[in-house]
Amino acid sequence: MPEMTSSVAAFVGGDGERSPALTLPAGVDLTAKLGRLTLKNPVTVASGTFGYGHEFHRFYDISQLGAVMVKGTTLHPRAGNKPPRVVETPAGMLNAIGLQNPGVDEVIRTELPWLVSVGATAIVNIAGHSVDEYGEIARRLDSVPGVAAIEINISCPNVDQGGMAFGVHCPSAAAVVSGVRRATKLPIITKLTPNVTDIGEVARAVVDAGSDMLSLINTLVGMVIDIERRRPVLGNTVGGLSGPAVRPVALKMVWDVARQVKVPIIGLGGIVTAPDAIQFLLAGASAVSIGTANFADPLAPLDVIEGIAAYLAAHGHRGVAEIVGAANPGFLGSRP
Amino acid sequence: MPYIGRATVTAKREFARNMVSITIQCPAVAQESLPGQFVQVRAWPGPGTAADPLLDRPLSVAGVDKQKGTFELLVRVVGRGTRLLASVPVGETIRVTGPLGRGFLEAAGAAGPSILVGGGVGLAPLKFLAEVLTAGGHEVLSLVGARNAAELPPPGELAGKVQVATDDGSAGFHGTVVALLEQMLTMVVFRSGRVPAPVVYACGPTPMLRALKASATLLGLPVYLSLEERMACGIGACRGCAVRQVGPKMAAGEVKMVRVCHEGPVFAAGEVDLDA
Ligand SMILES: Cc1cc2nc3c(=O)[nH]c(=O)nc-3n(C[C@H](O)[C@H](O)[C@H](O)COP(=O)(O)OP(=O)(O)OC[C@H]3O[C@@H](n4cnc5c(N)ncnc54)[C@H](O)[C@@H]3O)c2cc1C
Ligand SMILES: Cc1cc2nc3c(=O)[nH]c(=O)nc-3n(C[C@H](O)[C@H](O)[C@H](O)COP(=O)(O)O)c2cc1C
Ligand code: FES
Repeated sequence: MPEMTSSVAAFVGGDGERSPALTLPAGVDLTAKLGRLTLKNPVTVASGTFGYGHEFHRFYDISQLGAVMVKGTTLHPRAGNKPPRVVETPAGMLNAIGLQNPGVDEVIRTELPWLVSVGATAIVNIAGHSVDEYGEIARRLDSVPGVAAIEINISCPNVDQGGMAFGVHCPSAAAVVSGVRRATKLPIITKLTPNVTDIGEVARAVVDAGSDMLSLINTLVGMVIDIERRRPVLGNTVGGLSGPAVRPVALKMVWDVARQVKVPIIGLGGIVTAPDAIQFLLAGASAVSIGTANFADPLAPLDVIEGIAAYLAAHGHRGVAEIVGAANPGFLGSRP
Repeated sequence: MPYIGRATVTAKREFARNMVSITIQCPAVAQESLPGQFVQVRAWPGPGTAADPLLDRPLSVAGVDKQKGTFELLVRVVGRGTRLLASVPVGETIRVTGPLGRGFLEAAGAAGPSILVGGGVGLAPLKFLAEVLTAGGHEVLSLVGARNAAELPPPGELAGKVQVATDDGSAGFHGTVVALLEQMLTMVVFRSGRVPAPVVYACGPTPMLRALKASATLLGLPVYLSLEERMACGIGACRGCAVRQVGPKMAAGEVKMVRVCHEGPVFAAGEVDLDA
């Protein structure tokens, strides 16, 4: 790890030992404006790592988060893959959950009202087997109270059909986005897979198809073999790599995409601490998501929010937007 | 609400071969824990400074002392995480999250005469259960299995009556704990109807649980199993530890998953698929 200046080291956190309430410096406005989507701060939690928020709400008030990206939601309920579904790897983990979820109707009936009741900002991550299915899920969510945006998951590596298959080719990725665009007036975030040769190309294709924003990255496909049993550890053979191990790769992809599209970017992949998150903001992300870190430190997002605020204050900034893309000379997005 | 925060290691001792008992000062966990529940433990820095290992380790609560505000873990060193935990000196702190999950008696709904079946690290939650049941005046018989005599816990560690079984016959019954249970039950102690049928509680390796489920079902006894599955979050959020629910409560064709860390780790044997 590179040497950190003391001002940064002061808010590294990430130990799960802190108050469940936020302490923020005066004079810093954390509001994150992502086009038509305004978040109270730039720190969201990543789909699939936060369930629907119940579990974390036992530890802290989740309405303090910028947004909650709920678990990937499909048209019909899905049981997911057979176990083992997770395995730890150096500074990371592989998962092959297989989009276990109760289906969009149940999410609308029980989960979204609960998220609204606790004051959380909900973004619904959706996944389908066909362009029509993506459109149908979006249509059902369109007028549901409390849905701030739809995040299209064209990047899940853990389902045999659909999922990532859509995200690795520009025409299919664009077709899914156009279909969702026709089905809803909600802001659309398209979540990109890193498992491609040129992520910029896919980014441009989905923006042209009407995506209001992008989020990246989803997990990198990988595997682990049990050498005694001589077979893959995961029940699904392969899974998606996440956690600190992927952070440099994710950051580089955000950097690249920020030079190729003007729309707001939500950066994620291996973020644990505020200094990690600030790197993504400086590369050109307008907001970030915390994923796997929630497992190792359920309170990590709170440290990240406070740390970003402290960094802004320490460097004389009044708002987050002032640092977005500040390290990236080719940053195309707008900055006030 | 589960506790999350630092807790101090106050004592360590060898419990059995390859198993260390660690006492931890943490009043919240000591007060709240029920037998069968577990804690997530991190005996190394938070993921912000050390992502190796990345995840916390799930460990059963093996006993509590509410007055002193301490709880006990029984840990077998099998890899990096458990090695780091076992080497924490007395007086140092670790991070603890818990108690988590649903315990034996919550799964069973009531306490009564009980047979506890387990071995190895499976003894951890059973030791706690035996204490709580005997303290409540219930009859407890523990059937403890090990490969050989040296791996058995010393006599007196478990509350209630204990019988042992070893794979090599170096102590007690020669064979598995499940075979021992079968042999005992065919002696029809309680099937006469005069004695209430006991409930069987078990924790151990999946093959043992599978064998137990098969034979206890045959004998018509209620059986509750504590399962182990690979976990990421340990708190119910990631769906990483899900197993398939089965049984009469399910509609035809219905597929339902339950989380070992949240709906479990204890389930009625007939309620979960152990073969996946
Ligand atoms: C609910 C529950 C209760 C448990 N109670 C106890 C206990 O009281 N005493 C005890 O010694 N052990 C217990 N275990 C097993 C214990 O969690 C593992 O031995 C431990 O996680 C191994 O970590 P490691 O780093 O030493 O080994 P490694 O093999 O290096 O671990 C690598 C990864 O695999 C996971 N893993 C390895 N073995 C297991 C396992 N058997 N079950 C689940 N995950 C595993 C680890 O958590 C880690 O993510 C329990 C497991 C569960 C799920
Ligand atoms: C257990 C698990 C489940 C996930 N489920 C989803 C999902 O349903 N939909 C989705 O778009 N991404 C899913 N992801 C990917 C994460 O949202 C995120 O993109 C990825 O893990 C990288 O970020 P991280 O390193 O901070 O975790 C999942 C990740 C994990 C670890
Ligand atoms: S380990 Fe995450 S849901 Fe059980």
